[in-house]
Amino acid sequence: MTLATDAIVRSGRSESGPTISLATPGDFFALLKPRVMSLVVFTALAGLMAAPSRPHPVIAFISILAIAVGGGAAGCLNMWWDADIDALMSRTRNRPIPAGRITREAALGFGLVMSGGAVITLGLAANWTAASLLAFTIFFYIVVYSMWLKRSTPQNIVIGGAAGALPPVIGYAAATGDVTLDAAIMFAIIFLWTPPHSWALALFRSEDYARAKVPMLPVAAGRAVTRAQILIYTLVLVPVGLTPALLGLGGPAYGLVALLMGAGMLHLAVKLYRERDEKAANLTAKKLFGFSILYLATLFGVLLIERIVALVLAQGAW
Amino acid sequence: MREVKDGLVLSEEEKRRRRQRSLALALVLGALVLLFYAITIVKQGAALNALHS
Repeated sequence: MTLATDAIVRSGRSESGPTISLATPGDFFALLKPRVMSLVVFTALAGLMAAPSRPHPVIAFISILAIAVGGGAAGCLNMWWDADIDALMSRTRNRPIPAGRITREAALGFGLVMSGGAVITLGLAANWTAASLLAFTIFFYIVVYSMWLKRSTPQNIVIGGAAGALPPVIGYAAATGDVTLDAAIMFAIIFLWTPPHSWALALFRSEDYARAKVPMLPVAAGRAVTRAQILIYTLVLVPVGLTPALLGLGGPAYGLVALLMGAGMLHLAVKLYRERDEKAANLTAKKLFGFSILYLATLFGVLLIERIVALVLAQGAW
Repeated sequence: MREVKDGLVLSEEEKRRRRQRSLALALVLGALVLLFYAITIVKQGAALNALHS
């Protein structure tokens, strides 16, 4: 981003006088990070469906919508805070703020209004336990992760990963008003999945992070340490991914899928750890990054399908 | 400097984009009205059922 563009983005004024925004509704939608939001919807829905009691379908729908908007609002506030480093990275430089389509002030206002609206709606529709968890998630993602950890420690995404792991807990709390061991297991799966997923991305995007001075693990501690850490976290993740089948949260189908997908994750993590050629390592890191998304989506997808099938078989149980 | 003596005159593109944003905002506000109506009906229904059971 040039200094002139930066000035426009920050002030909302051009050098030739006051301007009227050229932002489209699509630009504001992009601020909500729709792809991240879809994963939030998916995991929150799995959490809600995994609960022993289910709310009225309308309340369930509105709860998931509120969680999705809350997650999107957190993404928007993250873009407001990180606009300077987003402009330096090829993956993020076309986002609405660094591209100059939306001012930082407009994004801040939009993010705050959406956050407040989502929390209040969830509180009124479901319960205030779920609403408090959603508010905490947004606070944790913006203040603890974006403002504090992201630019100061290579452990940023390890601790910050808690924010991304909370949606199934919020979904579960929206249904029951409570947080139990089942919800904690779903939290643990996403929490342990985040480091190998994010570090795989950081391995093949390390130049971007170095340019933006974000101390991701490959930048701060080197590629060998990152590959070892990815393997360690994957070794912990795979057995934790199996626990829903052992504790009754997931059925036999879940157990089988978790075993097969876990073997796939482990295979790629070991391959990445052993790889010494950097080009080949980047290729494996890309594969691991893609497979990790499939891993999480499949695990929560099967959990969801098992619940829907059980619901259909027990007709009228809702 | 852009001419602002007689007020800021919007270009056609600026007018079009503003119309799009206004329409999107109207749709969101309309959806919110329906959303809170639905919450009210469901909550009242549940409370009434509890009262009569």
